[in-house]
Amino acid sequence: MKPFYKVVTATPTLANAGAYLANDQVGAVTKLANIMADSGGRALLKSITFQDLDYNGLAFELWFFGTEPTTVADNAAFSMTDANAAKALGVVFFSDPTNQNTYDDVNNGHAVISCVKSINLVLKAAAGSRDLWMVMVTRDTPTHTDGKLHFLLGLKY
Amino acid sequence: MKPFYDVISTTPVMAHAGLYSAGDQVGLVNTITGACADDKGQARLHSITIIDKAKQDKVMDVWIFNQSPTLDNVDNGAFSLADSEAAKCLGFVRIPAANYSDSALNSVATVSDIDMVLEGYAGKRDLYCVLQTRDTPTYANGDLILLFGLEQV
Repeated sequence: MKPFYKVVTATPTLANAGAYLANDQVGAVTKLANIMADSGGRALLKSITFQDLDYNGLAFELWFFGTEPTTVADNAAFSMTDANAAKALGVVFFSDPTNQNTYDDVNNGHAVISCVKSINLVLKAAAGSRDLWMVMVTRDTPTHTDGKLHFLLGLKY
Repeated sequence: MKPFYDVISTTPVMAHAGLYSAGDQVGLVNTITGACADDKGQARLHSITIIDKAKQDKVMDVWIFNQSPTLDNVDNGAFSLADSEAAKCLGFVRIPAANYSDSALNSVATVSDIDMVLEGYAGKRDLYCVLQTRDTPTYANGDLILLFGLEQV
């Protein structure tokens, strides 16, 4: 069977949207339902495109988890126990120059589109599951509204 | 043919945990169990993630071997090995301090897009790694978890 690619869209739910402080969690833990092709499946995360319809364009990070972590609520300082941190699979930076990957912003007057390419992070679902989870952590002071942050995850299976 | 990806984790045992000096070995030799699909098989290393429960966020080198190397020192001693042992080394990956992302209590670092080809030794599917700090972290035993993102070929 040949490898195949897929783009999965995710939109975090921001229950306490508004102004965020640096190091706050943005949105709830976002479930990436059935992101894997198979139960306990694996995939290579190739790229992430971030559509920031709030026009912030500020540095943040995306944490990925193989099982659902318990963290804080939207718009609170990002924190979790060590046991929850141990569920992490990796992190992707949306900030140049700390990320080795290319960071491009294209300001079209209405939104900021950010692309991180050539990520090549291996992700793995837990046994019996096709789901992963992700959490957005801001490193700046954006103002966000619910429903205006969209992620397009490019995966290779 | 469809690629086969896997994430293999290992938790270094730090028998002499505490304050480490720059250049020290952190833990012992760790086994990356089943890294290669078959004996003397090949694997493509895509990513390494370190979960740092101590939130030290220090630069770390991950040395990778195809046979378990005999090291001159134990955990928290200067990383040293004989030339014959160094010959077992397949390469290393540096985890820069800038790659750590913090939560309030812990942190995670990822180096991805590594694209290093690894090959197991005859009769072995496992690979081995040793951590060497390049700074002065303080760890308790169990504070670090390594995740190797591999494509088995």
